[in-house]
Amino acid sequence: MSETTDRVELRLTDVHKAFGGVRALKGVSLAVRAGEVHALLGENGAGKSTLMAIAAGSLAPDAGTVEIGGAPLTHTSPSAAQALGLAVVYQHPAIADDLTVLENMLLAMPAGRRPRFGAAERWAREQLDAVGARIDPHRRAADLTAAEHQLVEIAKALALEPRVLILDEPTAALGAAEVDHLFEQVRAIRDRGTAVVYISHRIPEVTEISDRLTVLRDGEHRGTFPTAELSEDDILDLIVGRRIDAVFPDKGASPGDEVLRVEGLSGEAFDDVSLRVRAGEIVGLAGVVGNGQQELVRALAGLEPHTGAIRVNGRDVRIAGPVDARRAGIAFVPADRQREGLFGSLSVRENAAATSLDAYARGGLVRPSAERAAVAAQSAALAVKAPSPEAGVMTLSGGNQQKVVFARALLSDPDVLLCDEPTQGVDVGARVEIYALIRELADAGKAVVVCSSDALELEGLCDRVVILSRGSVVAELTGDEITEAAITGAAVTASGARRTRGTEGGAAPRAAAARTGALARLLRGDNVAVPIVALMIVLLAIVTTTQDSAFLGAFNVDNLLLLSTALILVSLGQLIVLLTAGVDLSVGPMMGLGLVVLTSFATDERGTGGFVAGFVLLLLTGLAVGAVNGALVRLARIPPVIATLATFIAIQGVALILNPVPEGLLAMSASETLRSSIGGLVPWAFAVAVALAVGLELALRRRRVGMALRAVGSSEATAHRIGVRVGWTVFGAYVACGLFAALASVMLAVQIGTGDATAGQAYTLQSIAAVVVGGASIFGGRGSFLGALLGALLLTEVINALPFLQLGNAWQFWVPGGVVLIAAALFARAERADRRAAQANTA
Amino acid sequence: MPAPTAGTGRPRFAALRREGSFTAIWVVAALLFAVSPLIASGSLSQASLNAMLPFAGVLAIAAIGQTLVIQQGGLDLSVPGTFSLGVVLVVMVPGGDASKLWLGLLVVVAAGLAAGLANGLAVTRLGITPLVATLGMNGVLLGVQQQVTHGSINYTAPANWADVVGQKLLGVTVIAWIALVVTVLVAIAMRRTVWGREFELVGAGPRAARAAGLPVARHQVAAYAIAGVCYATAGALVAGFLGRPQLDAGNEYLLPTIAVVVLGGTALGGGRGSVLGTLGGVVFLAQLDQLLNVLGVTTAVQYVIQGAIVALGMGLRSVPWHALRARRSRDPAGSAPGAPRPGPPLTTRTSSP
Repeated sequence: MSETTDRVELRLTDVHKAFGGVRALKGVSLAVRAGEVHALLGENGAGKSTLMAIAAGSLAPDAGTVEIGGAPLTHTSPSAAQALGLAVVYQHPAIADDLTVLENMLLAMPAGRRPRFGAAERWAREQLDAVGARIDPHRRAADLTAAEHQLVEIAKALALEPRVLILDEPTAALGAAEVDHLFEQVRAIRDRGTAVVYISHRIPEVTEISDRLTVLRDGEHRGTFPTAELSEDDILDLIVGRRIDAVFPDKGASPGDEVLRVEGLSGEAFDDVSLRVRAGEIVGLAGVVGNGQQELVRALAGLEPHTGAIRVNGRDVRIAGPVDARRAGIAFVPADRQREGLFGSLSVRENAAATSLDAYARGGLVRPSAERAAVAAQSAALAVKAPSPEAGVMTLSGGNQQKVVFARALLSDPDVLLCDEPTQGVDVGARVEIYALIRELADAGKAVVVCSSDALELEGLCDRVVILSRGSVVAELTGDEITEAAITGAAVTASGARRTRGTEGGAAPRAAAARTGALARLLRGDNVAVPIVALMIVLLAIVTTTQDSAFLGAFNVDNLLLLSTALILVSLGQLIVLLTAGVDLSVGPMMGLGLVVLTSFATDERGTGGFVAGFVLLLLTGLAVGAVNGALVRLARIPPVIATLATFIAIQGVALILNPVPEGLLAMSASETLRSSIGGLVPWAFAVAVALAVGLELALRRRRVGMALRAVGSSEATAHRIGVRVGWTVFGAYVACGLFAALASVMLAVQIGTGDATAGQAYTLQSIAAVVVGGASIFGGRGSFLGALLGALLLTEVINALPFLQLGNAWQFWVPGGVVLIAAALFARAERADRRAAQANTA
Repeated sequence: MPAPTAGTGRPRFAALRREGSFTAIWVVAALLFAVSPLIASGSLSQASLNAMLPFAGVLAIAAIGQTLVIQQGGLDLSVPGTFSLGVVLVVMVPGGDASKLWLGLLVVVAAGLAAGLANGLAVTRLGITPLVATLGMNGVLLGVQQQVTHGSINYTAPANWADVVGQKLLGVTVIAWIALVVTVLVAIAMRRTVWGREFELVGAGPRAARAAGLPVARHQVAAYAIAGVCYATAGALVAGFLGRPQLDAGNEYLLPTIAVVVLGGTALGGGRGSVLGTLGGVVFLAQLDQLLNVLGVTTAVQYVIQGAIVALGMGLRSVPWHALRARRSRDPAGSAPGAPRPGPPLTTRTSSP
């Protein structure tokens, strides 16, 4: 404690916060001094994260004040808190996977602290060195391990030179050596006079790193103490001891035969777990959130990949997916009720009967009376309060929604019932009913597994509790041993690091992931397609020339390049939108409309003035169309496909109103100028398109706007947390796309000459094909303008080469269609492997 | 106040209310029919209806397929390719020989099924997004059509097929009857069979369906497969009706199939769907076109109107009215256009999909 002063850098005073009816914070005050590490402790749901979200300006308190460095935080905004000198390292780092480490760091810097691009790499290395992270700044964030993510997040936070640094569970993903290293860094930061808030569940870590500590329980301040004055047991006593707010049913008598037996189960987040559950028994899975217990219960439901043996009622069952689990007599009540538990748009009846329809059917036809009777009986038994069985399930309260999920599980008459956080978001009254219900089920002979982050709930409900820490079973409690203190104690005092894996159970999936990983790595470089497509262009040219040497003659090359220019330009625009995970189908008709506009002004009679007027009007048209698309997507929240499909139809109509039949001729002089080429081989227009592509590519890699575009496509939520203006970025992308479609229509005018309103239509599909062939991800975030350029060139070349190769017209359709399918399939495969790898990393 | 327990409600009444979003379009269509004679006197004449109904019937059959695909969270852009394949095969396979009509129809159905299966497998197995998968498949199918025809159809549809398709029942073209019967059958299958009910569940919540142990991928593939058969059959009907159809007949049907599904109230991105709602969309759109035709409005203006209607229909449906009202009162400052709505920030657990 070198520089501890009494200067308070972060002061929270009497903070209150409620979520719905749940009071998460009840008047908490906290003062963190310069030059101290101040630990914030408490159980799951004690209010730690809520308190820090309020300090960081990402949540508004219902009452109370926040002061950072002596200045009050006047409005709720992360950037306002940042400007006052607060930095947060989140447990789940705000890092866009599709960007490199360097790009992530640059994007997170406010304007004043951003280095020039030329100096950026050295700057990033310095920041990373400062936290002892040996990470190449040019690596893609998706390739980093969870620990490396955490270090990058810390480096980002420190680059802001904050007065206050909040670390939220920073060691959750780290191994022992990394934890030691992190602690060295934290001490160094503290010694420079920074106020550090250290949020953790783990008592051993807290006693090691912190100077003082504050304990929260049930949203209340339990006291602030110098760490040295407390033993680990003292701290534990402060953390646990919540008042009992629910009545639990009596525990079970003597359990029956073994129903569920799990041997040596390993998955991405848990290792070598064995478990036995007998009929009539409720077994709890406990642990600090994120220690593998949730993944374990999901693996039993068939929702997580795993290895090991599972037996139900003495029979070996293979659970490769949730359908297998259901067949094996396992029913699952998921934690994420809104997304996984309920069919939100359907009624209570439809939700409850979802997995038992066969029981009410005769000859494949559901008998409504049988279904209604069964649902009504079950609903009555569970006392589901709903206006009618036909009421939308989302109109029910949380507790009654959960009862509907239970009703579904019961109607399918399972042998094993798995519940993940069965009372999350449920009020106290319904909670009591759910506890009674779970006990009744056990008494009726089911084997029940309950995964919960609420130790008190497990104490009151379970006959046996298994505690996991970092993916392994660290304790098992039975009978009177099951107390909240014992459960929490076992979970928070286990300090062992994550087991190094790859030797036993987890080895097989790992190896498989590594194999597909090699392909994935190859395919996920942003510019991967560039050399491949270039090679295809060259090969096709060689093959075609051997058939007919005229193909590479100056005339045909010049012609081919000129033809490709329109497609190149529109593909560049399409890629801008695709990078944001959108799509613009309206580019084709927009080109037709542009063609009509241009050819009605830029005629021979009107001379240069006419061309200029037409060109300006054309750009304005592109701008307007892009703005309409952007507004439909962002403001009206219409999915991009439909929004741009609607404009597709409407623009086509507008173009046809203006020119029902093709009319207007592009002025000869304009046409000749636009056709002119360098040495009769490379048209100027083509050269300009290439220059545009190169310029966009550079902007995409080096400018903030390019990084923002990719961050938005990578994940809108993450981009928002980083500080990107998501709405404007997406809107701008559609406007830019409209402008590029307008430019493309100039080159279309050169090809067609006359104002044919429907001439552009084919370009919609071709532009999408070109960017996908060029290596862009349809899910956004990844793409290359050079790839789009070459993709467009390749497609044009294919169509141009067909007559030379004497291939039928069918190939004109087969080649682009087939190439798109193959390219998309390869990229989808790589992306899946990526996601698997990312999961393995965060586990 | 004790809330009534489930089981005491009036199911029939509630069921009607639940179908509200799908009946809306029928009300709008009825209004359109009511005002049509006032706007243009000839727009409800027998001749006008006779001109409209065959194409409305064809669109309705194709749109059943699109409804099922969209209900499963997909989108099918391979309508032109599959449809045109149906047009070509029903003419080319019999080659003018009326006795081989059954073979032609068999090939049409098989080809539609194969194309749809390929789409479905590309989406579920290969993980290609529906947009790209069906776009690519469309290209492949148009290529097949080119290969089969070499750019032109040398035959007319078999005479017996033209006879069947040209028939009228109670003064109404048989195509419209077929469309009606098939739509009603599909609607009943969706509401009453185990398969249909599970199909709806998967569409309404693929993640919930997966967690509940329903075979998600199988239903998604089925949607594309049935859709393929619908498009190809619709193509065959057009071929019979026109006798000597155009090769690119399918192009005309892609956008309308999507438009009528949207108008019919089936949510894009998956959810509850209704082929009856879609049929309402077909009736509305067909009558609108007819009315505009009678008024002498050009196709071009009709496009603009169609586009505006789709955008408006979608816009109205996608506005989260309740959330908006709630947000207004809580957050007067608002935020940049479309900044992601803040969820509960740090308290939710992330669960891997």
